[in-house]
Amino acid sequence: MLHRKLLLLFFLFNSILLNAQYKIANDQYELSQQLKEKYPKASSVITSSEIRFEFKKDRSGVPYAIQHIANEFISLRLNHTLDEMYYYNNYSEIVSFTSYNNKNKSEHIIPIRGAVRVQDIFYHDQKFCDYQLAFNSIGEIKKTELLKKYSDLKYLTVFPFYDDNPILHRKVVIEVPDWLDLEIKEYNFAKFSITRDSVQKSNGVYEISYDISNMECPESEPLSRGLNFVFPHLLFLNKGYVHNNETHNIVRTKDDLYSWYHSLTCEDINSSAEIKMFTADLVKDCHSDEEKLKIIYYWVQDNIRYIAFEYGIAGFKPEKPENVFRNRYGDCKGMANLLKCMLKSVGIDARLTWLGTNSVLYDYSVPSLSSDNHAICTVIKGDKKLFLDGTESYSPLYQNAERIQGRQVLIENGENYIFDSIPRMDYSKNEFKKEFELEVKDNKLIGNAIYTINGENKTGLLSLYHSLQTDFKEKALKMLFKNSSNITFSNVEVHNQDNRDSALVIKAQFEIENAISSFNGESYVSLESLEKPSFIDVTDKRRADLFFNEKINQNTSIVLNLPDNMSLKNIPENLSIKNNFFQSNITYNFNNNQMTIQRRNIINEGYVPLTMAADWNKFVKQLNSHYKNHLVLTTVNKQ
Amino acid sequence: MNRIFFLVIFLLVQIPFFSFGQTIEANRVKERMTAYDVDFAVTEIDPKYKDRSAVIICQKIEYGFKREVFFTSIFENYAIRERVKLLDKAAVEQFSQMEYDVSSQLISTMGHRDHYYYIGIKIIKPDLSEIEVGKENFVIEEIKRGYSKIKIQKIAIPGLNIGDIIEYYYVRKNTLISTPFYEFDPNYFTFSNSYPIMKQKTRFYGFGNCYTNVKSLNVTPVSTIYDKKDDDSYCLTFENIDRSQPERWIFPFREYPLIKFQSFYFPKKVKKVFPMRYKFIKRESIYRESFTKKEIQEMLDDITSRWYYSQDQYLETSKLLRKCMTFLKSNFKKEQNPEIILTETNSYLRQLINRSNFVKNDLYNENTDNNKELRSDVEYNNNFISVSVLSGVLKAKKIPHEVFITIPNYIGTIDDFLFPSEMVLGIRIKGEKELYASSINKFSVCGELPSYLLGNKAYSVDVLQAVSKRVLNEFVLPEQKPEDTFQKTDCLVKFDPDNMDSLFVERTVEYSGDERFYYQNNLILPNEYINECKDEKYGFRSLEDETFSKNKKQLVNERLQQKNQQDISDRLDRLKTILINEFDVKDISIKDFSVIQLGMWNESPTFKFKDSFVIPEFISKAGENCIVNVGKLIGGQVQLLDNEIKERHADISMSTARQFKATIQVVIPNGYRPIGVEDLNVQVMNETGGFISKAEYRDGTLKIETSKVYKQAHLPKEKWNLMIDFLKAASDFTQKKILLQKV
Repeated sequence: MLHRKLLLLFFLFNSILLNAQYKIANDQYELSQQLKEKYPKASSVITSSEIRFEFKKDRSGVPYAIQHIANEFISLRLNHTLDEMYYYNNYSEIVSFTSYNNKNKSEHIIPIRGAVRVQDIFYHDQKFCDYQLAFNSIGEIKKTELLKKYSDLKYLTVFPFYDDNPILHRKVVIEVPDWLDLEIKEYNFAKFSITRDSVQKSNGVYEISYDISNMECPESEPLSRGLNFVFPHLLFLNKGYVHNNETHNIVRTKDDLYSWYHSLTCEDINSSAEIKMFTADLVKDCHSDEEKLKIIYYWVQDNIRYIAFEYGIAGFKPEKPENVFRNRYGDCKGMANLLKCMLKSVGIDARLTWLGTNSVLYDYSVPSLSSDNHAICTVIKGDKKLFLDGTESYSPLYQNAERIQGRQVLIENGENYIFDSIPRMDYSKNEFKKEFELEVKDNKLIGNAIYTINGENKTGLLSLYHSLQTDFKEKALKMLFKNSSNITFSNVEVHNQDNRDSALVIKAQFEIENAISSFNGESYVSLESLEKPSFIDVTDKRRADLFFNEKINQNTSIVLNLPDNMSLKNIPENLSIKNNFFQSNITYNFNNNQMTIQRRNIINEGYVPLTMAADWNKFVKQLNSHYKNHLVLTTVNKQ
Repeated sequence: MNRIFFLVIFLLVQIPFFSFGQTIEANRVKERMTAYDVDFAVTEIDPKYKDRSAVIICQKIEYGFKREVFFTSIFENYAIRERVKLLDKAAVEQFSQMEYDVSSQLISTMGHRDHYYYIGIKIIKPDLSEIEVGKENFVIEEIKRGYSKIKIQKIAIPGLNIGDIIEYYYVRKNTLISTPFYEFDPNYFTFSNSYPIMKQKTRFYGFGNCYTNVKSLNVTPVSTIYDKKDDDSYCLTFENIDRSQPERWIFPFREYPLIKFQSFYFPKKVKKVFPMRYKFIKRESIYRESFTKKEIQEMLDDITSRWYYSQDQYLETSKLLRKCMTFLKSNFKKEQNPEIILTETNSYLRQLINRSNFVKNDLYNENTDNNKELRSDVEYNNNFISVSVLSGVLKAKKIPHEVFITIPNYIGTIDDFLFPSEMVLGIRIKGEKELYASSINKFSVCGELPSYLLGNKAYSVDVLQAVSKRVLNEFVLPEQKPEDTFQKTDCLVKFDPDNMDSLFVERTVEYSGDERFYYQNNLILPNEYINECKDEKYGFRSLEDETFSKNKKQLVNERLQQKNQQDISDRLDRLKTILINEFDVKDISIKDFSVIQLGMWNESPTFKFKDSFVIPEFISKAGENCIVNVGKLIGGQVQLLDNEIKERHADISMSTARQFKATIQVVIPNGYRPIGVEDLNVQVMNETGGFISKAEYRDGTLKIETSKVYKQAHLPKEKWNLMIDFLKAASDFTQKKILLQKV
């Protein structure tokens, strides 16, 4: 009896052990090895993929789209799980999913479904569906088929050609029926292997197909804007359709886009008596429109918290101003609406305004729901326009954040709109000035620092400063500029922290230990603890331009007062670099036993294109070398 | 058909009743949680807290059990009510969005629980007007997998300003359905990590078979009331508890004010099914605050006489004990030396557990990493099983030994012992050389106690003695000396003579004691571990040696080969991360790595490996000369923050005393001579530890010998300044440079 049980257990164990793996065909294994060499970081690769878009109409003639996705994966690792992730929302759904194992038999996978957590958005309708494919062996193949339905074509916009896994070959087919007016825009095809073909079929369908080969898996690159700026994708512009010989517009032009947005806004200003009263009280001591503007704009920035509910239509429809006012929270549209309402109540012409921030690749020349992602308020006075972004914190009246500068805007104007763009600001507005005066004392460097901060840096720092707990502020400020463990700040003073219209000034005393190394009567002084170059190299593999999200304007002055018995052995050579995108000037002056170093680094437009990579890397190398350079001091015997 | 129809009708009728019942319950909870309480009527804060971000005016926690009329189920209730004054923008932001886990079901091996939640929030304005936060601000976020669903209740708090008071309650009601026994999760509730608390009230309540073990630590209650009149409650009240300060080298449970509690639903009829756990119940009361020595002895007597924790564990223990006895019979039949018996059994048992895990888990499933920072249930069972097997073997061999009980030092001392999960068992064999054994991990050798037991007070009983004659021994487990836990590095450093911008480093590194487990887990391959265990006496065979059919054998071999290649590549990735962190550099290029000694046997207990790599960041040019940051070659050191240097609030608690020794030989390239060597000589030594460095230049090589020692694992806060002296010396050393002067 016991033997039988043991035998049974033995067979069970062996069957678990050995049936858990499939016999992998040699060609599959060899392919996986080749792919491992090609994509060393990948755990699996899509060997073939076909994606097909079909457009249909429901019984009432409303069009919808069906997306068929068929992928074949090969595993490059033993025992790993691949997350095949799909997204849907109120206007799309995942209809079906099937996966097939290495023996081409279907296998049941229970997906994980849930809400996608998006930074800064409190609640929205974007959901994920994660099908976890368990791979046991190297070279193992799995296939998946998925059907997704877009019930409203307005929301079918961007389709990327890339995936979380490298793709050997992908075919994308779009079947455009003759009743649908669809324009397809192609982006970032140049650096990738993509071919396009099209054919007019007899059933009135115009078929467009793309063949994509050897598509790498995008890697996140520091200082880059987003994958859509670099990787190939399509933008669907569903302009309209014909049903029963009648033409229906979806989003044909930016006029349609505006009409829809405008239809979602609430014009009922009369209902906000509470806001009127409050605003009147707020501005009662103001003597000019400018004063009123400031006090209202700053009140919204300071008192309305950014909490965004973007569920379904709430993602596009601005919340009523009285709700935002009462709740003291809202999203960009809600804040813009409240600003507009408050300003109008004191007689200022204020309008809702739609735009895409600089994280959006497209502008209104390709009108779609992907062309914008933000709303602000525009004040119009004669020919002049003032753009107010309620979501900003500590932003002064005449300054706009880099993310909205230069962006096209649709300004509310009744049934029509005003098409304009937000002016760009010069890098000079972003000056970050550092002044250090220091001396050598007891083998340490001690001195005073003054940081004068303007523009984008100032608003960022003020937001940070005010978000800190009161009893943690001093400690945090001491850590703020600590580049290195051997520098200690004390007596930190903050000036203008509540004044948006002046530069933020931070003053402190500092002490640097171990910054001086003495050899044979010569002292090597390192000033790296005061300032380190923060620019990164552009690697060969990098695909995105360097994007700093601010125009950089660093201005540093270091004054080192030497003791009488010391002198500078040699003065380093000055550095001067200048081109259309970046410039640096470093000068060294030695006078009256005082060494003055002036450093000025400017990135004019806040970005450096990849075409400048070689110059940029040379620039970074030179800067690093200058910042790391030791000053050599010698002892002099004065009689 | 009719039956189905009526069933459907019945269920449909239940729905409105159910939701109506829920509404009544919600109203009842609201009434209870917002009832007048003099401490929740306070609006002013203590002036000493005026510069804080927020102040918790009052916090009230209630935890207990109820059986309700008409219900056979038991309800476990947890409720918190908190009143907070917001004093700055950070606090307003903090409280403007709230999130609660409101998942409705928990199905675990211990039983089935349905959960109900009740949340209420109001804002009290400075003019004392009150605004209730409406449900329109509540949204639910869900993540669903199969039948399990995680639900997060998100709440946006409207109209919040500096100076407001926010008062909220959160009530969780769990139903225990048809469970014979339930051991609830242990809770270590630290009062506040962010804001000071003016008043804190905690109340436990229960009945009959629901027991709670509870104790407050590191804080003295202003009142403790045990009230049997109403619902058998136990109330603790605290005042003025300040925010806990996070600090380096601290055991939070021994420093921060906290209440720890764990509850058990334990009807007496199941006493025999779970005898060991029954010992945790204080039969004469539903609350237990501590164990008496007598109770601990009873517990030890019970454990050592049955070794029964659960059915699964018992079967596992019996199986392992039989295997160990067979092993000893085959190899050490006549052996009576306790050290040999213990060592050999320990080694055999360790491999028995870990090798089979490798075969089962590692080769065919996701990689399982056994390196866990805190003890888990797995380790808890491991401790019970391994000690019971070792004691069983010694008992069979009639070797006198004691079984001891203690708790991990990061939780407290044995006097704070209260929960099953805190219990750690071990073996002590007295003699000229005292022998110890406790939990077994993948690499631990016999006699090596986990660091969390070192220096702990423990109680033991002599197992071979009859229970009636046993006495409870109290003793202190041995401390470790710094030299028992060390890192020793021999390092040869060369320059690239053509391009003096990077260093080529060849090292031999040796780790002992607890320090080695992290490196062993990261740098030893499963294959290397398996091969190390292939001693004939153990009779273990690798999978390659197993007798399979020809095809299956080929499959297994191919897979082993693939797995090994994958493991080698993964190991290099992990090594790179380790080195980048150790030397605090952006990048490092690894040239070679090999394990010299695995460090899992008593005769060779240190883990030793060789590696070589290129570091590009330690050289800077100074004209035709070079400045080399040789100090950084000893690896990253503790960087003390400014506030750490200024003050220390808590005693210092580290895992072990330890030592770091390094010998660095820098081959100076031809045409250069090193300047500044004498500055590399440093000596700081005191009673807490020290840092010493000696350097000399001879025959073209600069030799630096450094030693850093932490003499004790635990120190009173008053000694912190002494520690700073040597920590700072070591940290300063990493800034030391030499000049390579062109000759």
